[in-house]
Amino acid sequence: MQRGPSRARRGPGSGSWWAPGDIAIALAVAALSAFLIAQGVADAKSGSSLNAVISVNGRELDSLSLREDLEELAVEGYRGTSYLQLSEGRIRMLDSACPDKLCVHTGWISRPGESIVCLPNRVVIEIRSGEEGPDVVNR
Amino acid sequence: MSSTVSKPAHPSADRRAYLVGQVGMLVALGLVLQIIEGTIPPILPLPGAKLGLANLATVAALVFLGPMEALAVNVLRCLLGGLLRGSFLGLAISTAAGTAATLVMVALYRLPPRLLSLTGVSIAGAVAHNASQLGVAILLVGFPGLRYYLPYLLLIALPTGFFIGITARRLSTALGRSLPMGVG
Repeated sequence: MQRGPSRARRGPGSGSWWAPGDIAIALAVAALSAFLIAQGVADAKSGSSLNAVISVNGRELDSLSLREDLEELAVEGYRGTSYLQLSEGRIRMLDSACPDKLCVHTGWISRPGESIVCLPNRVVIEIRSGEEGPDVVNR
Repeated sequence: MSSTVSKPAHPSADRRAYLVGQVGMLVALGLVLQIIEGTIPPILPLPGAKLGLANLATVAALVFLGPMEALAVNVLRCLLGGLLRGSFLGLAISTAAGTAATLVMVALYRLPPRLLSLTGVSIAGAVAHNASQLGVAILLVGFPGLRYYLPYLLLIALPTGFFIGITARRLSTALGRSLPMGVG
């Protein structure tokens, strides 16, 4: 009771259970969340941050964002040329200098961790997430 | 010891002993609330989205004792509670987030109540808690993708902060009537 006036206005059981400022804070936070959610959705739609990493003979040559579209990309491999196509956030092998065309038959890949391998031509395409994170966090 | 005068005034040593006792009691109360909350299965399957019952102790310290006492209750409760749970990551996150929340509440509590009630103070504290919780988690885990989780944690802070604020108000009314705690 002998504290300064700044304490006197507050205290046990004083004041109403709500005030205009409460609503202002709640609305501001709700608006901010809505904005952030919208932004997150937009981020996810824009093809996120996936990359196709192309390596030849075990060496990483290039990393392409899956956001781009490429009609045909030539990669010089061990036996000859491999042709890649990027479209709508996916990538596939159009043709490759190999006898079995297993890589071509793999078809489109788009998810992190997926890969196309052309063993004879030693060309590997792997999709990686731009943001590398842990798989599991033990809390 | 310090007061050789035999006046019944509140000497600082007495006041300190009183505060230590009150802070200790509120820390214990917070720990009990934390354990009780731990026995309730989570309603939402989101990590970090809790009611935060233990924060009632911090808010009570803010109302009855003062800003420094609220900080003390919060830091002690988070450290001890983290040890009880036995997870270093959890301890670090909850201590940092709890301290951030308490600082925000201490600052906002200085506003006149007709502008911002205890409910609003508590909501702001919950929002600060959840935001900094995620910030520390991103720092410690090193995964920036966690930031997409922020808006959901912020939204959850609204009802939990509201509940804690309302409850703290009822608590302070009840305790204020029966206990002359605010003696000072």
